[in-house]
Amino acid sequence: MKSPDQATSLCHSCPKLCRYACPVAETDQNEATTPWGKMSAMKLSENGILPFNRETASLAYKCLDCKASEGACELDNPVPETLFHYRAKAFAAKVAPPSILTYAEQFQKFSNPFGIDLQKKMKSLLPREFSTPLKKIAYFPGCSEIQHFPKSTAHALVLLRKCRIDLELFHEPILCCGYPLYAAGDIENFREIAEINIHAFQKYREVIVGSPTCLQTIDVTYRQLGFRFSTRFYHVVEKIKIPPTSLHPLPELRAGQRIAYHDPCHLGRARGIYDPPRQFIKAATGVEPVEFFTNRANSSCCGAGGLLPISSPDTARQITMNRIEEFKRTGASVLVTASPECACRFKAIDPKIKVMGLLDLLS
Amino acid sequence: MKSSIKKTLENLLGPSRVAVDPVNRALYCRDMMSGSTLEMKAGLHPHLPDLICWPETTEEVSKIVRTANHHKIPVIPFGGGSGVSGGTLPLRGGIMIDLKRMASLETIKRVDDPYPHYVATIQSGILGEHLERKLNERGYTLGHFPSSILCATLGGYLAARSAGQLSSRYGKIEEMVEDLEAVLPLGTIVPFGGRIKKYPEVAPKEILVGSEGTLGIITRARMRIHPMAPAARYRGISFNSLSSALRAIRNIMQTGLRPSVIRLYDELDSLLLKYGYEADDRKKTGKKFLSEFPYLSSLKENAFHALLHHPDWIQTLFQLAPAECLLIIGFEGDADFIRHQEKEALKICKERIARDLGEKPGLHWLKKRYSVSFKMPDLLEKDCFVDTIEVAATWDRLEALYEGVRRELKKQCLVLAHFSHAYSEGCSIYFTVIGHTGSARKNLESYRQVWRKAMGATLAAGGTISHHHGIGLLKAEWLAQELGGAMRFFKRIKKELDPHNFMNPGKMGLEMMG
Ligand SMILES: Cc1cc2nc3c(=O)[nH]c(=O)nc-3n(C[C@H](O)[C@H](O)[C@H](O)COP(=O)(O)OP(=O)(O)OC[C@H]3O[C@@H](n4cnc5c(N)ncnc54)[C@H](O)[C@@H]3O)c2cc1C
Ligand code: SF4
Repeated sequence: MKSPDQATSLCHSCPKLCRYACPVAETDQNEATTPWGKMSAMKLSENGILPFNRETASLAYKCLDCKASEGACELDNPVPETLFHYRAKAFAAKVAPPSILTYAEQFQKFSNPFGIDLQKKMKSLLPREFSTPLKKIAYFPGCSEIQHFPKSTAHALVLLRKCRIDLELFHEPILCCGYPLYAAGDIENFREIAEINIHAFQKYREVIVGSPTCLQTIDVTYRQLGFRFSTRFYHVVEKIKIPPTSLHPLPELRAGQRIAYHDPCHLGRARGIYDPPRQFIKAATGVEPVEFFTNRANSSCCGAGGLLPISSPDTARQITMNRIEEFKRTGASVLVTASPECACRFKAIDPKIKVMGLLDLLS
Repeated sequence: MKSSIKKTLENLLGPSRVAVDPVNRALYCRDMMSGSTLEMKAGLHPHLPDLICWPETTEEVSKIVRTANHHKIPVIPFGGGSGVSGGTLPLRGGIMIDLKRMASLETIKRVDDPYPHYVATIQSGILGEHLERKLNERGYTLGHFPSSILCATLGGYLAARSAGQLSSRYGKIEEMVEDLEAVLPLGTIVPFGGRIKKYPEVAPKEILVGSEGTLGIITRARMRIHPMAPAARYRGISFNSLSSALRAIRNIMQTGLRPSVIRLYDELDSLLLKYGYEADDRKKTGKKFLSEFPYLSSLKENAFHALLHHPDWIQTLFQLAPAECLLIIGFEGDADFIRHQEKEALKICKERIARDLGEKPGLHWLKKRYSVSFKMPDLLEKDCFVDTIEVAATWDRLEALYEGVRRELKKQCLVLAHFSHAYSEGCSIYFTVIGHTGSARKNLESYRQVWRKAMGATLAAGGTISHHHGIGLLKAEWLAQELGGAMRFFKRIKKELDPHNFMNPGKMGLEMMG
């Protein structure tokens, strides 16, 4: 992987070839928030041409971590990773946006972004049988799923058992991968969470993850930080292989409602998982999902990633609205996605549209 | 800049659409002219704009221009900043007007007069790729595919007379535009169907298209669009000499065939293209071509630099090797019609020594047609200087122009070329130059010499110094030589429309003597 210096330098010499793919650039329409602009600003700060102050550092936060620029860049330049390096620098120098500093502080209370005891919540919602420890495989829902889509967790556990996977629910006190801290630039505390999580994960041969963002964080970012572990990680949709006859959709979906599938950036572009969710929808409902005009590797982001809703709420909101508009143009009546973060974002911005998690299609 | 100007513009646009901070100013200081990047690498400080603003309507653009006039400061229209001629450089500071918030595809209409066709009304700040996607979503295409489609705007296309890769079928941008809406240097709005008061007999597009922001700001355009082509065919043809391939192209264009793309690569460029499509099956896309290049793959970067110190050796080597020039030819449209066209074109090629390579090279070209742009940053990061020089000439002067430029440059840098936009009267040549001197300062010096020599050779061969990249700052000193007496008309128009010279000053040789 290119060092931050190599990566920013390359962008600085580049004619902004990935700008068209960057949702932040498209929304702000400012050179400074194109991948080229953000990376160039970091380069100019390294060269002493710009100070590394709050203004410059704020550009490192103008990124959804949606991997769209990486997908568009034929030079494989790691823009989000590089900008996250500068977030860490900004956080350490206390020049991160104030909203980010406050957010990271609040996170510390319960080691998750929701300010509640997630373990307690999860225990109260799930059948006891899944908390039987000492299995070799665990299900890790991720904090957003527990907070907003606990039913998905229950569905996942039942379905995985139906697939003859003998698993337990990950039941440690910390139920967050720490991505919010990573995105905030609070690397010190992120490392701490990573260390605790890895220690717990090492008990398992496999961990099946509900949230694509958690999966990406654990499987890729932890390793990038130098952590080594042999546990294998999968997204839940990769593991569910059940004949359609044993899947029973919600009664309301049987009426032939059209479903549009939104590709989460951290499942699609980041891991190349495009077909299994579509196959699942087809198997569960008997109908092929409708496609967004931009889909698969070209899919537009939902606007939730990279803490953009915290650092630049207006831009993030516009990005979500653009995707919702695109959804409306599909003519579908249900928006389904495989990421609790995306689903939650769509619901938050437009409560009127019907948004469902992939596994929640089942009764 | 006086704070009162900022205040006025903030009152007009709101504070979030006006910026004077150092970060924004630093990022609006240049376009993609290679020379600006080389200057920065050599530690030279660029010109900074004083203020950047983002209007959302034509009326706002007009008010900004009037404010600038009132305070006697320059304005520079800014699209994608992908220009490669320094067109957006704020040579005297001033207000940078970024048009990208004016990015709607407003209407699509069928027009029956004088013949049935489709027209879209579009704001000028839309990015090429976004426009194309929006049109595609509705079943249409603009048919304009420059390599910078990913990073340039419609306004920039029009201002610089851009050419897309399928120009042989769809035309250059100036042939696609039916009408314009624009703001003149004194702030007057020229609406669709309107006239510039001083030139009532001329359609405004004739004056504004190609004026690179020196005569006005294009805010909206009515563009001819097309239903997406039902079928397309692409293929590669190999010739054993550049001359015979050029004669074939000339013949194809003059017999009235209408390929969508017709591109001929010279020996060195052909080798790279060929290696690319042969490697396509084996390798991941977009790997750096020079490190994949068969003869160089085992050499390290410094060996590559050493070779670049003797570019004439490489060229001599190529003269000794058996020559092969690749032609990529493609057709779009009704399936039967294009099959017939392709057959006729192949017949013309076969009249010379030519080998049909089938679809593969054509499809490879189509798939990778924007990839070449990624080589530039890669080479700049390898401490090379690199640029593209696009010139054109009538058929009778074309080969002399090609040889003349190569002869002038061969000792200084590696020169590759392809012939990409063909007409019945002539064709453009797109040279790529790559050099290395060992230091950033010397790179810059050598780069400037290369341009001087290339422009001199072009004019000496009776060619035109720009086919589609515009004049900007880079070619300003040679424009008068090419235009001769016509330059006086251009200067007169400038003086009449922009008496105080506030609109993108210092560009297109308008301030030069003579
Ligand atoms: C990698 C790469 C590949 C390229 N390939 C091609 C190609 O295939 N074909 C081609 O034609 N060009 C190509 N170019 C050149 C460039 O993209 C074109 O000149 C393009 O038209 C510029 O558009 P822009 O929006 O980026 O304009 P800018 O760079 O922002 O501006 C260019 C000039 O136009 C003026 N301008 C911009 N917008 C307006 C407006 N609305 N009204 C009035 N004046 C305006 C500016 O002041 C400036 O003088 C390439 C450039 C790059 C970097
Ligand atoms: S990420 Fe790649 S395409 Fe985008 S600006 Fe950087 S080098 Fe260019």
